[in-house]
Amino acid sequence: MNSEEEFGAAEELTEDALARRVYELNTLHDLNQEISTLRNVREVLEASLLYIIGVFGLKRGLIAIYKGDEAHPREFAYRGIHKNTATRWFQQLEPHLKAPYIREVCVAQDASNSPLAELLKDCQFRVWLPLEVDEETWGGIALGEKLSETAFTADDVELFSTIAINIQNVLSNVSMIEALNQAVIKETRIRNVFQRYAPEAIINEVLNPSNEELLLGESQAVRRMFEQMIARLEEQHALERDLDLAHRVQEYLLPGGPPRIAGIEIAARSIPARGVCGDFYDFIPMSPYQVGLSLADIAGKGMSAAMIATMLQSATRMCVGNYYPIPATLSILNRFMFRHTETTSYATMFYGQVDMQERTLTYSNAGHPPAMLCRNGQVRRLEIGGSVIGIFEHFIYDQETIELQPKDALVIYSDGVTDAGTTPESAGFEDAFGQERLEAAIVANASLPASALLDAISGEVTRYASGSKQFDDITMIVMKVE
Amino acid sequence: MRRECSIKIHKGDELATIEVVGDLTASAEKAMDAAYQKACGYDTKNILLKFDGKSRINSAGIAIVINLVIESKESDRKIFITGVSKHFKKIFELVGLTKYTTIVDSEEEVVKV
Repeated sequence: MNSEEEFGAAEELTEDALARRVYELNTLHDLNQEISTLRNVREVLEASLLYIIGVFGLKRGLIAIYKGDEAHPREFAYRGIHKNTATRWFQQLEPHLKAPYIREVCVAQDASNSPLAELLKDCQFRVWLPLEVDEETWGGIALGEKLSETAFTADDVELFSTIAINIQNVLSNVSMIEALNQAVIKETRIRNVFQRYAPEAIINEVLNPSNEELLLGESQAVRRMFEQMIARLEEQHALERDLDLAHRVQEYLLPGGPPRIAGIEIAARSIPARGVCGDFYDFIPMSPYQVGLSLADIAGKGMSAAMIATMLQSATRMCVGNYYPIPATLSILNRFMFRHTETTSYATMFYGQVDMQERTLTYSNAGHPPAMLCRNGQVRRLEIGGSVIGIFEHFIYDQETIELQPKDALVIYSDGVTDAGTTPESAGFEDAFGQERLEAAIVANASLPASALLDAISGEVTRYASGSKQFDDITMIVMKVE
Repeated sequence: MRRECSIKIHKGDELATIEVVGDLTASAEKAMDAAYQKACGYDTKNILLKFDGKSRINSAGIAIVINLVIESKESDRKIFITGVSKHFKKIFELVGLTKYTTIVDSEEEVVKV
């Protein structure tokens, strides 16, 4: 294994590309961190545009939201253009909002006949990306030319789209908070009126004035209860909305369905323990006969783990999209996570690439439960790789290449499968479903197609764990070679 | 760990220096704009952005620099940059900033340029 040499060579060969990728990943991290703390649509637009201008090196840009009602004011932010120009363009774009082409990414240099391309050129914009919140087009982002005077590439558009997902996510959240704030303002007005007039009116008109002291005491108590109730509702709404939002972002990022690669069949499933999942799996098509398979488990659960999972998934796609070797990909992800998450945060990850032209599986296992390759009734545990991601700043991972044979079954899974049937306190002990039962389930059902094998293993896990509450995310990828 | 950004302005004979100590991020935008306006008031054509060699400049910080560079071009001023690490020199090059500004090793070099 000479992965260290390979990694060194890859870094040397792609120094510019690597610097660019690290810069892009840092941008995603910093942007997400900054805008997620904002509670005002305009602030989100201004901060987002600042990062977009910086990451692409742009001369100008505009970001606009047309969703106009009391809770969602029409807003736009711009840089590098005069206010009058920005206002005029904002107004010119509005009639186009219901047109189907507004929902598509538009690169003006590639779409000379589109009405949108004409509108973009009018203000020297080059690219348009819609912003869709709650499945509705709220507006979009228009970008001007680069300082470098180079054209926008497919990689740029991909990064731009990833940034837009983050912005949409935050906008949806912020809009909800603004709506809630409006509701709270209304409630406060009502409470103020009640506080000012109602007790005296009731005292004067209905009740015996001799009970005035008692009544005032009761009204204060009612008001306090009302305020506490509103505060709790606000907290609950924000939490539910955050969880729902994170769940939807995760669903959006999950692959739509298994990739179609001749000679293999793939199935996958993820069942979160709560509304959002700290596991993720992904299929990353690399060519008509190559696909990347990733499955990761972030330490912890709930919202924070889900956010890190989303970030790690995006970063993985970017590295794989750049065709870095597998050890280099894991080293970059490791360094990125080390630098940008808390010291206690880490992830385990299995990443493999299937090449059906060569009929091989090349993988690296970053501290993840061993994937299992079943061949002729024997199970081989795939453990080559290295440490978990995010604990050590620098780590060089190993990889292994395995020749695939007909009827091979590969099962990649998170520890939610093998820990099923336990409680958080007893996880990993004797009463867990465990790796031996998982092996037995795979061997017993190895002749089934991928989806049926996945169902069979899930069924065994569910039967074993029946009666105990699921406390960890359960995620599996199953691949069968034809 | 992010380092707080502090900005100072010095007026020399032939250039105004905006000295940035710490990390340049979105929160420094107003201070940077104000410093730039003050530097323009010194009636010099050359402005030097002097970083402390350890500054981290994220995308928002790059956008702030881009804004200054574009404004300076429109007002026929020249911006020079010094004190950035090798990594950020590379980033400045990748985003096209080096087409509009000159990275120098020291203040003295500005005078020579």
